[in-house]
Amino acid sequence: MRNRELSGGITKALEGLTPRERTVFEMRHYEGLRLRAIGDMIGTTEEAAKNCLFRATQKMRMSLESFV
Amino acid sequence: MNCIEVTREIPNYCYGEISSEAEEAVESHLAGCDLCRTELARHRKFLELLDERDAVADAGLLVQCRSELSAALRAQAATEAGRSGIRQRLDRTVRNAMEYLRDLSRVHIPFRIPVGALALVALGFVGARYTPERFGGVSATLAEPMFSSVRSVEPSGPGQVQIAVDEIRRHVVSGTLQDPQIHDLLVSGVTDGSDPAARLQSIQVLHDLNGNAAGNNADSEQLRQALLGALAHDTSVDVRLKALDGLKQFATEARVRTALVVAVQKDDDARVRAQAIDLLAAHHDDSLVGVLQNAVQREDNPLVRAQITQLLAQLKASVGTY
Repeated sequence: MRNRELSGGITKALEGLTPRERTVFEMRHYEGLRLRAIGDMIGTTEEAAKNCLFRATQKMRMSLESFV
Repeated sequence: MNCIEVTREIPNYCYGEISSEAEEAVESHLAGCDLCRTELARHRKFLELLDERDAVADAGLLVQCRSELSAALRAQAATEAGRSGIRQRLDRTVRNAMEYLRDLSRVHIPFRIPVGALALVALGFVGARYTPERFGGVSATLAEPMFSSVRSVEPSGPGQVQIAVDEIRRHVVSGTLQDPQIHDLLVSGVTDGSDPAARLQSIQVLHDLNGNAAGNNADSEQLRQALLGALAHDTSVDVRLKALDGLKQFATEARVRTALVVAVQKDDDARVRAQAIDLLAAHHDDSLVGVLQNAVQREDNPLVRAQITQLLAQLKASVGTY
């Protein structure tokens, strides 16, 4: 039951990200790409990708606070 | 590093995305800080939770994707009945894809998720070619891929090869400014656009929209957040200046004033600092004199120093603090 709630919570949290944040987050966390490669792929710098990942991570953690 | 800097680096630290110097600094701080160690533990727990979902999701995901994709492609194929060549190609694609997904279900779990995801990307690529160019009341078109790269190449049978390709493609979306999807895209464009000109245009359009009172309170809040983000983080001076323009209407709000003070203290461009000072000075509050006195001590640009000195004189306050 908890796993199902968690899965729903994660899906909802991902939906709360902007398209760019979600792309960066999923590429980094679920696909394991390096930030430099992600930056190249989405046409931005590694630093910008890093900032984007930070924002995405903060939003995800806030959304999933009750599970942590 | 202090606690704020370490907290900001923890996600990158966990992903191994920081330099060795920064890593040493983080670890040195962690060794002596209970609060940051707790934060690191919480972040690691959060990352573990994300991976738990991965394991939960895969069991049903492929079955669901198979049935939904099959239904969608068959329905689309039915509407293309008159175009037999296309239909035959589509049927063959669906059949091959289904066989591949059936094989995939026998793959060991650690490989099933990424391989399944790649297969779905490939199917999505094919499906997109046969999908109507409309969604959610907003018209959209698919252009040629902006970027593609080969992720892996494997033999998949006698004389056959399987190539996994990552693609990012550009959508062109159009709609009215009142369309929620268009509005959300504009807000994303303020902070996420890779092109500074696109970020500038997003701010301008949102600003005009808000000025015309076409947006609701939620829209204003989204706009405010996006502008504050652009002011604090955007690398383009023009975008930060445009964000300040947009923040004029919110310049009496406490958190906006806090962001303006930070811009006065930290922004490395004198034009941004000068405009932030103007906005702060347009609405006097108890902290204004202190902010200006502090700023004049730090300011190294003579024009901005003169601006602050003049404002302090108008407020009958001294340049120095005692």
